[in-house]
Amino acid sequence: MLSVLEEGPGGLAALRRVPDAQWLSALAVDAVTLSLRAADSLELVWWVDPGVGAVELEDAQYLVGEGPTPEAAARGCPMVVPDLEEESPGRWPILLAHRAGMGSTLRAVAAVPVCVGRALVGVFAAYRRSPGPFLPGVLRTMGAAADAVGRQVARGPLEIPELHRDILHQAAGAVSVREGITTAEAAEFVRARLFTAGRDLIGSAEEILGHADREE
Amino acid sequence: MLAKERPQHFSPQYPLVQAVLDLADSSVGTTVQLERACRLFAGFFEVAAAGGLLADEHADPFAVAGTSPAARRLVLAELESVPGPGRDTLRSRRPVPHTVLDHPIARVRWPGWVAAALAAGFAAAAAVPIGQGNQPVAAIVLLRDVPAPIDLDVQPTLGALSAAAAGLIAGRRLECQERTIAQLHHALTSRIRIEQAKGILAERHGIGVADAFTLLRTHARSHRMKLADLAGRIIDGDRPRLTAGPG
Repeated sequence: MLSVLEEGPGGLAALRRVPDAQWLSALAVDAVTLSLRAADSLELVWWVDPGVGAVELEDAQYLVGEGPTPEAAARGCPMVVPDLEEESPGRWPILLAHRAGMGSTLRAVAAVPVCVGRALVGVFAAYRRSPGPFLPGVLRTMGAAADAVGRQVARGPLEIPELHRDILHQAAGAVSVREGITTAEAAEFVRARLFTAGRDLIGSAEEILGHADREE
Repeated sequence: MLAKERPQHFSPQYPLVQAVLDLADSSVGTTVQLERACRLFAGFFEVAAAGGLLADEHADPFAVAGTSPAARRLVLAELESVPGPGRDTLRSRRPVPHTVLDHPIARVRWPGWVAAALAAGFAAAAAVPIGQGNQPVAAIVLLRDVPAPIDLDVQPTLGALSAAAAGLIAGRRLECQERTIAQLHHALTSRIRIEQAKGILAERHGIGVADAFTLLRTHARSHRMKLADLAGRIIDGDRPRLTAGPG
C-alpha cells in the first residue's frame, strides 16, 4: 500500500492515491487524520473519516489544546489510548469531559508523530470505535504509515491544501478588527468563544464571522 | 565555484582531494551529489555503470541516481521495493560481494532485479554501503557488463573516500531537510495569514470572505505582490486602498 505513495508526485495529494478503505483496513481502524504543525497550532489537513466523528474529536482537541494529538506533537512520541472512556479524567480533564458531552463513539486512539528527518512536522492519528489495545503489528504499520506520510510531505512542502479550520482564522481576523486587538489575541478569543458555545466548531465560527457572508 | 570542466568518469589516478572537493560542492542537491559519488565509485572500481540509493534513518531508500539511464532504472526498481543488491547492502550495512547475475543464486535472491539487469546488458554486480558508524546514508550498486570480478578490497583510499562521501551526503541531506521544514512552515503560516486577512477585510468593508479574497487577490496581482506578503501587511495594520478591479 505504501509503495503507491512513492510512485508519482509527492505532497499531500499523494495520500489520496491510496483508497480510503485501504487506509482503514490496513490499520484496522475506523478513521485516520493528519495534522501539520504551524507556529501556534496544529492544522488538520487530511483525513479519512466516514462519518465516525474523528474530525470532530480533532476539532475538540484543537479547541481545548489537550488530547492525544496535541500531546504527541508536544512530546514527540506516540500516544496510544486503548479506551478513552477508561482514561483517567485527570489526564486530559477538559477534553474527556467535552468528549462525553459530544456523544463521541470513538474509543481507542493512536497518535503518531510525523517527522521530516528528526523534526516533528505533524501528527498522524488513527481512531477506532471498539476499545482495546492496538496490536504490535498494527502499531508498526502505523509507524510505517507515519514515516511514509512524512516523506510525502517532504516531497511537496509547498503544497498545503485548504485548511479544515480556515474559517477560524477568518473569524480571528474579523474579531481583531472588531475588538482592536492583534490576530494572535483574537485567535485566543475565538477559541474561548467557540469553547463556551459548546457546539460544532465550524458553525459557531461562521456565526462569529457575523455579517460576513459564508464562503462556499 | 569549483571547476566546471569535470571529467565524466573518475579514474584511480584522479586526485582524491579533487574527488572529495567535487562531492563537497554545496551548490548542488543531494541527488547530484549521489550521482557524483556513483561516478567516483564507477571510476575507482572500473565498472561500466553505478547506481545509488539514498536511505533515510530506517535504511529505507527514498531517492536514486545513476551514471546511466539503465543504472538509474535498476536502482529505481529497488526504490519501488524490488529486492536487489542495493537494498541488501543497506539492510546488512555490509558490502554485497561480486555476484555473477546469470547464476542460480543471484536469480533466486533477486529474481525481478536480475532479469532487468541482464536485459539491460549487465553481467555482474556488487554493492557497497556508504555511511558513518553503522548508519548507512546511501548504497552504491556497481554494475559490470562483463563477468570479470569486482574486487571490493582494491583501494585503500576507498574507505576514506566512502567516509567523506557519507559525511557530505548526510550533511547535505540535513540541509535539504531543514529547507523542506522551513518551506512547509512558511506555506502553512502563509495559508493562515491569508485566511486572517480575509477576515480582516470582510469585517472592515462589511463584505463576505469570498469578496474579501477577491479584493486581496486583485490588489496583490495588480501590485505584483505575493498574496501572503499582502496578507501580512494587512495583519500588521496596513490599510492599502483596495479596489475590486476585473479579476
